[in-house]
Amino acid sequence: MKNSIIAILFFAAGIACAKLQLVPKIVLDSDFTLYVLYVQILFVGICMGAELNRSIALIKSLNVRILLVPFTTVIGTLLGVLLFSIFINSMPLSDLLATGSGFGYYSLSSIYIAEIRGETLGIIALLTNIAREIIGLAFTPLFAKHFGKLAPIAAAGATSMDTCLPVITANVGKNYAIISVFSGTVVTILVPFLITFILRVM
Amino acid sequence: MYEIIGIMFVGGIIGYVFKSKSKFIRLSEKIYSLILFLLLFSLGLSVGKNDVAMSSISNLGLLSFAIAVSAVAGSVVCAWIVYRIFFKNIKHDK
Repeated sequence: MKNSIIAILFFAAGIACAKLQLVPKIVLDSDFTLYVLYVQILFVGICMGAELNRSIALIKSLNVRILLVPFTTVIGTLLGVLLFSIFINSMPLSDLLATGSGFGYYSLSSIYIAEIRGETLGIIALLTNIAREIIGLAFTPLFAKHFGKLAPIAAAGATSMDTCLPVITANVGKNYAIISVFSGTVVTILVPFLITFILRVM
Repeated sequence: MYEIIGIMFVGGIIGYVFKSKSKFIRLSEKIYSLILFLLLFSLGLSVGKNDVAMSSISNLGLLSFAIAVSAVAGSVVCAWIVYRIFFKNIKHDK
């Protein structure tokens, strides 16, 4: 929760600095954001690579059923957004689905979508995916109680591997931590693929 | 997309090679979370300089929240069905 608020504050500070022209024009006109994103992705990769052996061992020790969890997260998200699109005329289905395909990974999804479709959809993606992370954090106890132990993992989407992991394990048990990390990792890797596919192919 | 996947892959190799250097890995995790804030700040910059995006920002909050709720609702319902069919009776589910 605290991190989500800090995230929004940094975003707002960026807007303010651009409006008040506190930043050199060169930074504003360059692809600064994209380069910062690349650096971040590099470090995501480093963290994943360092855990590779452990991840493979965990997957081997678990049933094939574990594959169902990220799959369920993706299908459920897309179905939910598809249903929602029936009530929304102002946005094309592909834009809605791409926004939902951030799965809470707001930095990557918003910048990436902004690159492809422009800043407006980028903002929607940012707010949607920050909201998803906050919902994941706040409603995990409720989801765990009424919808089974996989529900909080699916709800958290990509964030089930990091931000939401502590609250998920606290509510569904430590034995589901592996499934949570696995699902979040797979969903995180899928984000750029899905967004590209939806925005460029659909 | 290829840049992103490629960079993630290169990072993965670096992380794998240096996995025993725990100081390096811990530093990477720290840098990762610091960059997140820089990233949001620079996203704010690109939104702030875009007048079209700025004029619509107040209308986008509710829409964004609704998309998030429908995405979460869909995945929670699907997870509930999958849990009941495939997971409920497994032994490791204490």
